[in-house]
Amino acid sequence: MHRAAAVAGIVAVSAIHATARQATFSSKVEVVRVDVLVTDGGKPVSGLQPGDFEIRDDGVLQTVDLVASEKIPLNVILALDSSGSVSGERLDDLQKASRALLERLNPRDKAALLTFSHAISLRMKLTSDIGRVRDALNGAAPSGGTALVDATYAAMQLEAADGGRNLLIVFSDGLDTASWLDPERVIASARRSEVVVYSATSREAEDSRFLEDLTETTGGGLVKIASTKDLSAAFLRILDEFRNRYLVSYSPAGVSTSGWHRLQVRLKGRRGTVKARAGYQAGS
Amino acid sequence: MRVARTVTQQHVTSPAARWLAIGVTLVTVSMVIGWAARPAAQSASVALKTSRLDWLAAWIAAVKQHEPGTFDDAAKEISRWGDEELNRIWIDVSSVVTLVYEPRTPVLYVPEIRPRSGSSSSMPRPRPYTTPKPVPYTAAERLRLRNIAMSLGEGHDSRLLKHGALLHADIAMFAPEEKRATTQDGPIRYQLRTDDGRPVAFYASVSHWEMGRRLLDRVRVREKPGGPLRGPEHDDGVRLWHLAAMSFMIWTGALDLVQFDTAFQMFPDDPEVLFICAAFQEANAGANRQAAFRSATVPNNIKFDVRSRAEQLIRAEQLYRRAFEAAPFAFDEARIRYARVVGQRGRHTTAAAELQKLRPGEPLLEYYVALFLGGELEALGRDDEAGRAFQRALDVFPTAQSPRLALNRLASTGAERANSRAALLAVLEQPLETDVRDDPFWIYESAPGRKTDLLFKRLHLLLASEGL
Repeated sequence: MHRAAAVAGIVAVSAIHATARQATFSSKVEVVRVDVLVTDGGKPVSGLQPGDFEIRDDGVLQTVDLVASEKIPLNVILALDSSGSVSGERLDDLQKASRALLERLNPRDKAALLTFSHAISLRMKLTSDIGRVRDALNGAAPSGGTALVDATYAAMQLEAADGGRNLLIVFSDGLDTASWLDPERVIASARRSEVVVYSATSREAEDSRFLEDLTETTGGGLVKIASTKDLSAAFLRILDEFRNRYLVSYSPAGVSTSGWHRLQVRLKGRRGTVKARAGYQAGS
Repeated sequence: MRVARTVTQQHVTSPAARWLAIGVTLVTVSMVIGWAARPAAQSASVALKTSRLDWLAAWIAAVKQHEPGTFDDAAKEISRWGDEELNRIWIDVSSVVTLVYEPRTPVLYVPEIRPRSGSSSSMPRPRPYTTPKPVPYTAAERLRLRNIAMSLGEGHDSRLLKHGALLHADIAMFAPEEKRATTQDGPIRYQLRTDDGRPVAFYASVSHWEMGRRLLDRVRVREKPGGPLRGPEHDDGVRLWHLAAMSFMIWTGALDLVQFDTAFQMFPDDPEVLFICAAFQEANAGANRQAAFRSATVPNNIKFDVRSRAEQLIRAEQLYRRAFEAAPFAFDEARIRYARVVGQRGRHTTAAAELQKLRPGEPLLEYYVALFLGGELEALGRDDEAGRAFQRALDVFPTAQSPRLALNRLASTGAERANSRAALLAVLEQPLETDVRDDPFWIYESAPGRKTDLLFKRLHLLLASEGL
């Protein structure tokens, strides 16, 4: 969802067609990819075509080139709180939910696992060997503080520029007690990332503003759960919703090649609610 | 963590190390209000003592037998006593001290708790705990007390009090758990146990820290023969005890609010006391404590004097400034933390300028200077300089997570980003169980207490040199 030379999320048009290829950087052929969720009455709308979308980049109407959907493999990054506040049953529920989600991945999908307390632990880089990710879930031993902002930033660094769609799922109790990084700067970094962030957090979480802002910025969503017993359902709902999204792309025309670009994505002549990231950072 | 290991490696069984391993925070306040009394639990040793003063004799014997810095049999015995017994000991010891100086006094009173008030305090002033009332000693008991007083003599009473306070400090640090309190007047405290910002439990328990404070409040010093008797604030042993106690509390997170207030009132110009009190105020500005205090459910008559994050930072800034102004050539750590607080309050230029002046010799402090300077420069938009500062932090602690994240975020070109990302992920892949991962930022809150063992050793040596 970026302009060329911005970040790894920028790919040549040809790379989108051949999704298995590595990202190709180009200063001539640029494309912006926007991950879009369309719902009607809370249910995903399927079967949309390029002509159904209207995209404005900084207010300038763009021509939608492509709409791809569930055929593109997913890169699912799990960032799970393993601080002292997530122990006992909560941890069991979290591991169960993660396993349920991993079970639902397709053979071409990849997954990664990162856990965090005050320390961030990369337990498994992105891999299509889901069994290894599942095994890595067993190592978490909750203790210490919560570096939510730091960990979310680190998890965003795991995104792959392989043409797949990057989904980051963050679970935390929402209270950051140990991060070094400034939340606003991490949000700014998220604007340059292609990752869509979803988060599940407990309703009792004191302050979930960071997660609200981050999920809003990346076009994802924040799911508040009453109990960690609800985590499995929440994770699966997130996965289903993400699979039902559209990857809309366009070659920017008539707009600046740098700076923050405000995005507006609408449906043409149809009913529905559109959710997409608020914009993107170009030329950085 | 390397820092923790450095402090405790020669004392792996030290109380500071054991408490740190627990990983929970206790915030306590000593009060005597609003707690329902329950029947006193009778320990096995109670039955062996036939009269009130048998308990006092047993306590004095335990103080004399106790080896400082251990949880020996003497400490174990006293640790089994409840708040009711300890309260009586405190009253009887006070009576002995009174009789040392006023052997013919006709009436012995229940002593007042020393008011925790001071001249220029920004801290609260708890009300006195009790009002004076006569102790109903029998004639035989008065005689026995007078004999104990005569056997001690002037000066020895204060040594007994200080050794007694040390015994109770060792119990506070070494005993596996505190007994639940059964009365309102004894040396008790209310504990708010928290874990990662969540309140876990709230209850009243016997406080050996409070017992130590009460004993030390009775210390009297004659600075030169024939000179006037002065209070405990003129005794270096008392000062060291308070300092070491606060240091332990900061290091372990088992904070006792009254301890900091008391020490601040007694030693308002002491740079070490000011420093540790500032660190306490700063810690209370942290997200975990702020959240815990906000969400804790405690009885209406219990007040924790922890204010908003902004107010806590103001308190900390004032106290750090006073600390390094009181010791201008010996307090880099106070300046570093002062700058950190100033930066947290949004005055980045001042903070950066302060940090740029500092060249501490200790690796831990070098790291803090570099990391915080990087943060301030980044806030000022001076990214290149910030990057160099973060790199200096990594030079001191190469696997530290915080500067690695900061550098990664600052990387501006594609190549820089790729290299920085690879370096970051390489660190995050290292197992946490090994010695490889080490970030002093993780212990920033507790670091001011890292010299706890040293402070207690100084205290032991001082009291040993005074004798008992």
